[in-house]
Amino acid sequence: MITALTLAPIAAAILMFALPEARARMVALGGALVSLALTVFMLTRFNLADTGIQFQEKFNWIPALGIDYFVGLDGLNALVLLLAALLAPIVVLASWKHTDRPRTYFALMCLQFTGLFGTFTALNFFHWFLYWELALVPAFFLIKLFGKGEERHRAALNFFLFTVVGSVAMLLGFLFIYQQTKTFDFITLAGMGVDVSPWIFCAVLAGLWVKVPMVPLHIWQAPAYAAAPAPVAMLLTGVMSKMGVYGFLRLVVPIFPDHLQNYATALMAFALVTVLWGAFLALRQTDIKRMLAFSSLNHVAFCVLAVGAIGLAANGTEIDVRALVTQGIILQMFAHGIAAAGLFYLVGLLEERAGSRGLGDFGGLSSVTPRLAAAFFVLTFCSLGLPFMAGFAAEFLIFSGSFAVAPGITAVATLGLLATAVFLLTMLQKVFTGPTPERHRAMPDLSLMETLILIPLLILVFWVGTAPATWLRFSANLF
Amino acid sequence: MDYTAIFTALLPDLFVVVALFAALGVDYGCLRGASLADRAAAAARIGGVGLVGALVALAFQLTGSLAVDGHALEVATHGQLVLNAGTLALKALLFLLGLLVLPLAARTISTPQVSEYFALLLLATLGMGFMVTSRNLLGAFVALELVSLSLYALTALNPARKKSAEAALKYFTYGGVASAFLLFGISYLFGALGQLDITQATLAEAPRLVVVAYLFILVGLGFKLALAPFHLWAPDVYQAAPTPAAAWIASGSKIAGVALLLALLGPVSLPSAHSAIVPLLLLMAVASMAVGNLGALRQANVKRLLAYSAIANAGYILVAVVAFTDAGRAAALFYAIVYAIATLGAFAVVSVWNDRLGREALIEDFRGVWKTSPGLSLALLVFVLSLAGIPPLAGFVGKFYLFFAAIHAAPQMEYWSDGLYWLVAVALLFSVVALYYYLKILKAVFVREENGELDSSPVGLPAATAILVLALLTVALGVWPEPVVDYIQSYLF
Amino acid sequence: MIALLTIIFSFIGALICGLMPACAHRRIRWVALLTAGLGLAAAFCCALRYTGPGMEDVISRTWIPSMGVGFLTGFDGISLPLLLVTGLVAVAGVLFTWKLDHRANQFYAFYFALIGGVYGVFLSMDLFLLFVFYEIAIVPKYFLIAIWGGAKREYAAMKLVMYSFGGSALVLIGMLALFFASGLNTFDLRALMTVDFSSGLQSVVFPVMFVGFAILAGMWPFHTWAPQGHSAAPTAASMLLAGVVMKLGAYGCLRVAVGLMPEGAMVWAPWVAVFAVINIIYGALAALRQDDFKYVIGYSSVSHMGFVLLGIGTLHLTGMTGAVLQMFSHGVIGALLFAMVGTVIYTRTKTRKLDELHRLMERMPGIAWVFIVVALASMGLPGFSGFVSELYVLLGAWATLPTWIVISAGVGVLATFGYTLAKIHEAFFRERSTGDNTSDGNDGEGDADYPPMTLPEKAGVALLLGASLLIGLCPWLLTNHIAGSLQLLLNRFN
Repeated sequence: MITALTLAPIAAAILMFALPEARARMVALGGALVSLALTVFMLTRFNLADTGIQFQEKFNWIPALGIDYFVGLDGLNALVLLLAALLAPIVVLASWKHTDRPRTYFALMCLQFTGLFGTFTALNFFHWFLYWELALVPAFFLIKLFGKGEERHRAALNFFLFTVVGSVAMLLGFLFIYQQTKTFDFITLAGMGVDVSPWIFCAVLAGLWVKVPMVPLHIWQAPAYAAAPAPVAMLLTGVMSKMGVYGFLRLVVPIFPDHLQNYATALMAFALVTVLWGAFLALRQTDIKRMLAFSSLNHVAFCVLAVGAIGLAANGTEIDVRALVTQGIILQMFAHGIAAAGLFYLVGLLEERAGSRGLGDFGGLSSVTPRLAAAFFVLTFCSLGLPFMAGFAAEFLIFSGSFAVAPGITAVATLGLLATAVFLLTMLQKVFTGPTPERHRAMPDLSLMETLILIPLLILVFWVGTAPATWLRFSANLF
Repeated sequence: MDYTAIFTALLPDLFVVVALFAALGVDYGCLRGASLADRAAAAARIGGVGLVGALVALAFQLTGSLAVDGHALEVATHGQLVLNAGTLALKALLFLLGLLVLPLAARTISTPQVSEYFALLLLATLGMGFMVTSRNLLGAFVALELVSLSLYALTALNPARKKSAEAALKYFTYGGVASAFLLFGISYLFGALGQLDITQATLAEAPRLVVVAYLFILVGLGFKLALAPFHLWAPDVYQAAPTPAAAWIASGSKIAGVALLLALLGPVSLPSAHSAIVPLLLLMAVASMAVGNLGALRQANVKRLLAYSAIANAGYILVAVVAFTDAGRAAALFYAIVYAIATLGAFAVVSVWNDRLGREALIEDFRGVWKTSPGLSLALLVFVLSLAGIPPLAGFVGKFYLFFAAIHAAPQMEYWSDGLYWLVAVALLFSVVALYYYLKILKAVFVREENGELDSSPVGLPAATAILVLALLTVALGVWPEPVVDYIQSYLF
Repeated sequence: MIALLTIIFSFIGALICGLMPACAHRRIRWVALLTAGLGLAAAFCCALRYTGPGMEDVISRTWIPSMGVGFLTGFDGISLPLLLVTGLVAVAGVLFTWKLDHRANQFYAFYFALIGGVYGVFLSMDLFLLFVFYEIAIVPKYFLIAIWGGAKREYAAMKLVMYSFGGSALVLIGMLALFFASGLNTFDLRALMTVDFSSGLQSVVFPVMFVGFAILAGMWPFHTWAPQGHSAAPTAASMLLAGVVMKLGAYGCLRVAVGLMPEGAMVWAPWVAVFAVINIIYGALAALRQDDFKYVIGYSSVSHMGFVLLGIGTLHLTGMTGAVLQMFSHGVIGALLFAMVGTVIYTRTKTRKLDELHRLMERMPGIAWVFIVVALASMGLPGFSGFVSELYVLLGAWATLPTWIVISAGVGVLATFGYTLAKIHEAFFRERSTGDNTSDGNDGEGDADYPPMTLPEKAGVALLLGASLLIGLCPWLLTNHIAGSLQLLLNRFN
């Protein structure tokens, strides 16, 4: 079933070439919905008491190397898969009016969905890596072909090269591990405990580091997000950045417990720098999209901060902290995915309507486009971590857990949270209050379609915020 | 030993001699007023009949229908006539090649003295036959001189061109000096051996007299075989001589010369005896390969190019000769044969082309030939690639056999200087160079576009047959060399 | 006997094509397709019938016993992928030169003579026979390039031939040394493989033979023939050169040099690896600097062959399996890249200069996408055969080679990513500088759309890309056989 949901979008992509170009979006939506339906179906059948791998599919793929095709769901990936499956149809709908070479566009998008689903469900490095790279390539072309401005080429290339540098380092690292252990199986590897040099650990880390991204390998991020078309930016920030965090949870935490423990403080320090640096950069931006990109950098770094906390927690008997923080990370991924995707969508709408996206270009829009403003407010507050919204629940878990093991760093990190509040509120203020420029007086509000796209996101924001347990139960039994 | 036995033994040669005189006689007697072409055709026919007769006689001798008591004859003539399965076959091969030269010569009428031209060709062929069957110092020398004199005269038989006479004079002067050296060496050798028959003589070691003797012999034969540094005559002579004559100089006399060289080196086949002359042979081998191959690179005239290639190929042959083993001798002879066949073929094609052009062909003149003469081009491809040593053609097997034999003599290889590896390496290096100029010819033929209208007058059935036979031989010896190699190994060495 | 049919079909095909009149090029191409197809079918039958891991379908005849030469053919898991790739590329080569009408009869005569020689090398179990086929393949290459090639074709063809021939000269010396050292009076590879040559001999002969073969595999610094030759060659020939002929060299390195001289291989393996890494990185960097599309692909071939050499240099089952798999993979993908550049794009744009290409992404979207997919496959995108083979090679490298070599190979992989993307950008996305347009004055024409791919082109792409994808997803189809046969070869290393 997991294979089916992973391959459904690719099947849709192939189908697209058999049908008229105008039908491409229908087909893409169909593929995405099939995946979503299968995901939801699986999650409803998810056995909460089972801590192992569920819905697993495993068969011998390359016998000579002992590589299995191995996919499955457990607490770690259930929610992030749901996130990806949820955003997929939303992203397709968000690009419903896309007219430039739609077949190419939607085919690439479908390929990307497959890559994302595959990455989140694969439990063997071999095809995990296959999907990991597969997710990258369409994103590259989506930015390059359909992005805005001439920098898109450079942005796409940087995006690709940075990611690939990390990926190759990770590949080499894993090949070394294979040479030691003769297995690529994540679960087996986690069980046996890998004893390799710290350099190998660093190599694996590099791949994730770029994807998250963290300082100093983040410089590809803002230009790529800024150049990408809005739906692609939704995917990039909503799901692709989660690939890195998920990688931390799936690879680093279980497979390298000792290394993680040794380098936890350094990891947290880097995460902290990323948080602060992201906030600092965001403060200086005048471009809304870039600002959101840096805010995203800042938010995802909390997850890594928490990963460091897991490492520290492994020291003692504070098993609660590990559970707490892991839950927090998973929830933060979900929450940030939804909020950031929604925000990028809204920025895209603003840009489409105004033709620009500078902070200074807007003003007083709350009266002109009340629905848009409301959605924007809600999602921004969610990002800020206002209670009863998704961001709050997640960040609360992360901070309470981290504080227990690393009070100093966590305390400083909360400063980053404050800075976030400052720049996000400044943005809201500049865009939605004050005098409305003449040319924006007639700006249309959200259309019905746009509203419908946003509604599920808004619902989730509140649902996760008010009833996090509904979502956290998947990962409740991890420890 | 009665005269009947000698008559039977020399029956093939008799056919040739009779044909020779018949050709002259018919020409002088009956064809006074006829056109040159008719006279040439008649002479070629008579010569051809003679050679065919000789070949039939040889075939009978080889199969035993015409009994030849080789051993008795050898003893009786002191080695002047060594007729066994090996030498007879070699003689037959030379006669066959001579037969294939005739139609080419009949196409090209470069001289008013047509009957003399054919007579001289037959005479040279006859001499070559004696060269390969003689193991007597004096007999071999006389046979060699018979060949040489005929070839000097053949070179000169082109009075229309001043260069021809000049080259003939050059050839004659060099050749004369070479003969003198050779004779000098032979006389020293005779002094050392105490007998003229070299089949019986094997020296255990080489006194200084023998070394000097071989020095002279090698200088003399070096001239005849166009080995560097005694090669200077070859390019001019090849270029100036009528093409069929040049072909015969390059092919037939090469086989005979190599056979003679191997025979003359017989007395010093023991390592203790030849160690002093090996350096000279090595020097000549390397120098020939270098001069021949590097010289050929710069040639624009195809015949000159083939002349330099002849020098180079003589050098390759020495690679196996210095091995001083039976395998080496067999390889040297085998290579001389396959080389002769290929070069004869190449000359044949060039000869046809020279006729069409009415002048000496440059490489450039072959441009686009494939369009009008695909068969001729294909034949040239076969010959040239065989010369270059590309499988599956005879030249490849020949070269491989040479190197095989050279290394076989001292196969231990722990250091680079062991055995003849370095010599083989040099030879291989130069054969890479050689491929360059051989391909230059083929490039003109197949790759380049023609300069202007190309003459495609018919080749004529006899010449075409000769070329076809040579091409088939080249392919056959490459694809299945075993019978010939085996024959040479079994009967000659 | 089935294996031998590949050779027989090819040479008969060469003969038939050569004898047909040049004006009948429409019929000739069908004959050519049939010939290539029969060869592929025979290779495919071999693959289906092969059970492994030893030599199968052995045919043994005496040939030149006085020189210890036999006519010995057969194939094992190492030759099998190469037979298949030869068949595939041969068929695709015909498809991509479908419109050829200039001296078509001679073209296919040389083409199939080359292919016959290549099949012969992969099937020979006698060293002499292998060498014969190796050399038979040289001359057709010359004519294919020199007659039907592009700019500087005569120079490139001559250079290629000189390098090939020089390499084979080295091989010949090594061959003779081994023959006499063995004392068996045979060139039979199976017999020679049982001989323990003295280590002194091995350490001298191994580099000679290895370099001899590796010249044809495009080993740095003897690689320069490759980009020039590939670029000057007509499409079908450059497909064969990149796809198959370079594999001849690598195959020789593996089968002969490593197979016969394990000790020599162990002595020299680190150097092989070093040169391999230089190949990978140098090829990639050189590709990055090229302006001519075919040169880019040519240098990328050099870079990819570096992985083959690296795999051989590991002397480790996994790494060498990767090397053989990489030969297959690059054979298929490299050939396809040349086809795309040399025929599909060139016949439409009439230029190979990257800076003269103008907005191709919009003017030939279908072709651009196909090319991009092929380029990504060549880059080693997971899912295609290139990834699996590089994975195997790197695994082997970790096992036996120093870390810095592996890291450098990783850098090479990155450089590959770099030039692939950069060149895709230059070819398909970059707009030509406007200066040209005004001087040409043909703006309207310059922006016209190009016709889509023709049916034979589509078939060729499907064939080669499909093969790469199939092996990328199911590498065990080949790796089982490869590893089985390599194990026999490697047994002597312990």
